Amino acid sequence: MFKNEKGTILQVAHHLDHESYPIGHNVKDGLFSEFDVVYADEMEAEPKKGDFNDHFGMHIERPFFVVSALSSERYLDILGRNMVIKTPNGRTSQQWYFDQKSRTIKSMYRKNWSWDIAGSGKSNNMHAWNTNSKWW
Amino acid sequence: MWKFDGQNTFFNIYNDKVLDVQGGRDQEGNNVQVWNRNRSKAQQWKLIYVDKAEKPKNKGFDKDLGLERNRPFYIVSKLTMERVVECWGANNIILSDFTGSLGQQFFFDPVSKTIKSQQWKDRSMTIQGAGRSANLHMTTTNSRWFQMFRYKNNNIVNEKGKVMDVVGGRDTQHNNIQVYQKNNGMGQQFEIVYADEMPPVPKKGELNK
Repeated sequence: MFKNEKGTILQVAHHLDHESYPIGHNVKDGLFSEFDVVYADEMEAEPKKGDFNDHFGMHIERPFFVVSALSSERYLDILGRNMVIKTPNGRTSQQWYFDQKSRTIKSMYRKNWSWDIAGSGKSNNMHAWNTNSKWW
Repeated sequence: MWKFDGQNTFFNIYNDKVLDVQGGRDQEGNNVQVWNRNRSKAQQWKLIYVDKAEKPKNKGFDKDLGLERNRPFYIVSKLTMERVVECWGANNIILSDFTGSLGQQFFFDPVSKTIKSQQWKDRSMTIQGAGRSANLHMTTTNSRWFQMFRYKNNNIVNEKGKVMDVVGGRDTQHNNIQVYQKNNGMGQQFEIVYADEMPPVPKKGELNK
């Protein structure tokens, strides 16, 4: 816990464990006020290309296909920017990879595009959009 | 931000919604969305690393699409004159007397899953206007639904059901080829004859059986 001279405590705003949520301060404590201090010289190294990221369930920067379990076994693909299912066709628009730096699933067709819920997460539609590492 | 659960589901780390095929419709180009978990097949996926994926077959018969892979063929009309389909000027598709030219030869490309021109190999058979027209022509390969055809029961059938059709059923030189609703007319019936099995044109003096 980090407490300043006047007794206010560093904590995650609104107590929400969400990606990119701001840090605030308050007088209450709880899990949302607890932080580990990890010295830089003891910090575990970031996993490298080819390593398996347990948390996200994918190998890092290892291209993959995403194949639907529906009977035609079509592949996840990009049409314009929209994510759709299509017959396998050997194009890089059907290949994806997990990017450790952004923690997103990126397209091999456009490496600055990631899986993205349209409308900043307010829509149900999936498309490939410029990488921003927001929760959507 | 998305996780794969190691089984068959991709889910968003914030709202726990999952990757889902819209309406569970197993159709070419159908949309993919996020949805609440319902454990249906529409929400199940396989993650296959490219370095472990089976390489596409380059030769042999594709049972689903009814064509030999990478083997040049003619599309021979079953109308009386047995004319063949020709890619005319790298663009339009017409009916023509058999000459054996490369413009009359096509092949099934197993990578793009399209019917390509043997003369212009970057072009595939396409319903013009991104599928909105009735006309058939050859254009740059993109593997969209309007380039997806299979050969079945003497018909060249598009993914969405229309079939290759000689306009008006007229068996005339350079008549146009289009797509049309299936009607079992002879103008919609074609034979695939592989170029290495095509009988030569009979010469002067030979018996025309």
